[in-house]
Amino acid sequence: MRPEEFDNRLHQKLDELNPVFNEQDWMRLSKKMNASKSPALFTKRISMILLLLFLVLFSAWMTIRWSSITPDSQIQDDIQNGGMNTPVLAEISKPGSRDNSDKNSLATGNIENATQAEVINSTALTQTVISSTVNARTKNPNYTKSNLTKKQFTSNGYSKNSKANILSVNNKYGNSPSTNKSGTEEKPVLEEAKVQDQNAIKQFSENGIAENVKLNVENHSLENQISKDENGGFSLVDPIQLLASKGLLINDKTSLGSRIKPVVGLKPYKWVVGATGVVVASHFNTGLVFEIKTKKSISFGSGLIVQKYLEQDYLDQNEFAVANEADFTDLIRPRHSKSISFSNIKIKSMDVLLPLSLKYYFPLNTRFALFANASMQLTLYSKTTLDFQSITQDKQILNVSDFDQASNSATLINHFTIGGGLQREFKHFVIQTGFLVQKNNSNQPQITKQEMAGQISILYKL
Amino acid sequence: MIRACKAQHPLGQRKLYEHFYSYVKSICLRYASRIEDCEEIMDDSFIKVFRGIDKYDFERPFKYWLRTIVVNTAIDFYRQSMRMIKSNTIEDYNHLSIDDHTLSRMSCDEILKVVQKLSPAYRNVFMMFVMDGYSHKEIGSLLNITEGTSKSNLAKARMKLQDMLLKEYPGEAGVSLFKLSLPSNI
Repeated sequence: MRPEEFDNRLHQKLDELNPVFNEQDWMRLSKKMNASKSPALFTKRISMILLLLFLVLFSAWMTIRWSSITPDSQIQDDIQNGGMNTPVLAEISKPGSRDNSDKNSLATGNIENATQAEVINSTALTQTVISSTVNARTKNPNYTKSNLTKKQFTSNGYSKNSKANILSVNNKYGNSPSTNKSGTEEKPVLEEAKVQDQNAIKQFSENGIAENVKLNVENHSLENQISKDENGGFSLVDPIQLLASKGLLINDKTSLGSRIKPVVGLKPYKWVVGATGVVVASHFNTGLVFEIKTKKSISFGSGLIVQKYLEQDYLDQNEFAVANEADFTDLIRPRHSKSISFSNIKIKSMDVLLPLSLKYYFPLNTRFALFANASMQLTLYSKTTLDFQSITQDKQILNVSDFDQASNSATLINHFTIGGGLQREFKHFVIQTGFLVQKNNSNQPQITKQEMAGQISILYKL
Repeated sequence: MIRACKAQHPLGQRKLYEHFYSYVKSICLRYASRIEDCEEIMDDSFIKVFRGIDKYDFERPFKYWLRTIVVNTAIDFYRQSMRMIKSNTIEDYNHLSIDDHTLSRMSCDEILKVVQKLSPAYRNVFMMFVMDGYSHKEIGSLLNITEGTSKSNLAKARMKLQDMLLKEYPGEAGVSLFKLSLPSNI
């Protein structure tokens, strides 16, 4: 026999092979397919956790970085370093007083020779004590003792070429509130007064040091000491700390951190509660949520959300009739069921979710802020019901059903969202609108894994 | 059915599996040495099909695409053991002693059992060339062997098959050989 004939004969024989379908083979394959999905699911979960972790760490880093570059810390550093880094311009904002006697107090007070010092005393309608912030920046880091000994005084401003040491006290005050660029309510500046303490200047020019210089604020005496340190530099005692130590500050804003006036910021609130709604292609969520906001533009939120699927909107007999088998099954199949042969039944699905969200705010001004958020929505309860009421007797068909509530609880779906939006404040209310990308950890092929969503929340500030 | 599979619909997957079960299993049986290997190749093939069905081009025949995946899966399955046998020696076997009658008397299951006893290297080349119509060039590139090795392995596979068929099912060929070996005076 020729090889080609041999091949042909074997080909014919082997073509007669016709294995009969075996259900066990399909079950084995199904198990393998489900098992092979698990690593992907695990990877997705890990990715989401890492993403959340990254957001938290990034928020913390941003907060720390923002704090570390504040002028207040510069003051601290400058004071501790002394000498060359002695702050040459300090601005003390005092929004807590409307007492016009401040002007006189400051005018009569003695302020000893920082190279240039500016005290701003803003007024407020209701408060009467210094409360708020200190900003300082070094204008002349190359200051030396020799410069100090050859000083020239001018009434206002700073001349870098004159090697002058300028001491000026600006008392800014006003009677009506306004809003500054930082978003914090502040009073308008109506007048500026400058005082030069000739005695202190003279003392400093003679001795290179002046001690026990007094700053009078609201008829209280404040010792502001500038002294030479070991390296020939100068150290400045923080007047606010001295005020605090004398009990002149009545609120809790005496710490250095609290005196920082944020460049931009939202009106302070801590708790908000309200209603939220999320619209996705396949379902919609409504619920009650609350948020607790930290001082660092971060908020944590939770609540209770009811998620309803839109399947029941497709319960039309006519649609059932025209749908082909696959589309039909897609249309009416319960979310958690493994059955594949449903027909002519109404489906109602509802989940109760526990959202855990983390938001980071980027304030634009006092009323508007952008936010980025990431959240995880854990399904606490899930219920899917069949409704036969509107279906005629002869069309009630339920061929195969392993549909039961036990399978529901075994296949609870958790959602993960990430997104952002805009927040607007109206007096006691906060309205948030956002855009979300929502993913879920379902391994049910008929459930969309990733969906886009729109969100709106109306919250009340407590 | 294929569109349902593209939508990862389980009903569609089940239907496709059922529809092509016989076709795929027969390929797997030809390429596998044991039933366990056959099942594994078959499962791997279908998993590849379901996962990669997005890449399927509707312009092409689905059966051809499916066969390619199954054959490639089978080759991958035996790739490790096939590396051991690489020969460039092309032996000339122009004539086989087995006759047509012997083959026609054998059932496909009997032939399959014999085929499965071949080493993977020989069996794969034989099946690819004889059953699935691959050229030696294609076989060479798929199995990472030379064209010459493919031809050599095919020839050796034929000879081994013939030997095994005659040994397992001697039939008339066996009888005739026996008769020939008997002394003429008996």
